[in-house]
Amino acid sequence: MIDWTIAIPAFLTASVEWVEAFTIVLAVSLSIGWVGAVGAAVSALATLGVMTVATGGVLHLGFDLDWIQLVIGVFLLLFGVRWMAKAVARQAGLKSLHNEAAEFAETRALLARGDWHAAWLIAFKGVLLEGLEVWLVVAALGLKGNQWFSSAGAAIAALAVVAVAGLLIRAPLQRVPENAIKFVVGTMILAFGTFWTLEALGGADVWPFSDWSLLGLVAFYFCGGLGLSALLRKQPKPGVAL
Amino acid sequence: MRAFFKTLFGDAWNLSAVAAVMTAEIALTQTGNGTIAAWLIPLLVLASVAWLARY
Repeated sequence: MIDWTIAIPAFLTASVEWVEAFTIVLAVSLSIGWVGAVGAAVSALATLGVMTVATGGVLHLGFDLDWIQLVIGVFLLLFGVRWMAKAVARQAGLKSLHNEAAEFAETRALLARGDWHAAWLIAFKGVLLEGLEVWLVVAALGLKGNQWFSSAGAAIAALAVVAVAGLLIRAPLQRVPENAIKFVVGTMILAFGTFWTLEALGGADVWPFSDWSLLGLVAFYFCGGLGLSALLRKQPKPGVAL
Repeated sequence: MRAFFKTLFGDAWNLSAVAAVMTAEIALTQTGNGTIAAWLIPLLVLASVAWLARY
């Protein structure tokens, strides 16, 4: 049975990260060919798969759930605050929008020397680092009620969608509204992180509307993020003399 | 390795913001103010986002 409250944030987070990973693999493939680039990507994905399975196994060993919830909640806050801040800054015009075409060109420039091993490592590292964020969210969301099928399944589905779309277009996936997705996912991850850390520290009673407080947190961060973007847009950039 | 840690933890500013949130959470829950924390912490998190977005 799929839990959509888990599957949707996992799918959206994974989509954004897979698009970035695909852009790197695409750039590398033009340098060392599809076989080498896909080999590097598959190696990185296999590493991530092992990490996900190991995480699931460790979480079933009987550790105190409050502690696991606290640690994962802290990681979600670290991740969510960063994503949300970037999305707000981009929306407010304080930071330029992420540009897949520019990243593609940068990676191509890096590969200009034609070193096969260096190129392979760039693809491996790119997929591994982008996938790490996916792994973190899959592990964190899967923890809640043991929803591993919903979280890992959604991440794999996102990988398939991005890979098929990328292969059909054969270009960096520039049309994906990355900032909007990051903003939405940032609100969800922040809500989960806030809810879990406080619940782990203070018990379930601290939240006034029990599990429904989670929905309130999502709404609060969503509206708050939009308000912040509007507010920051009106203010001068720090360090800029008027 | 540096990129690995940066992916997991973010930069020093990011770590400081979350450390401040966690310190507040621990202080409030350990002093029996968990229900107040439920209202204050989201505000603090949003303030951290604003601070990181600006700098």
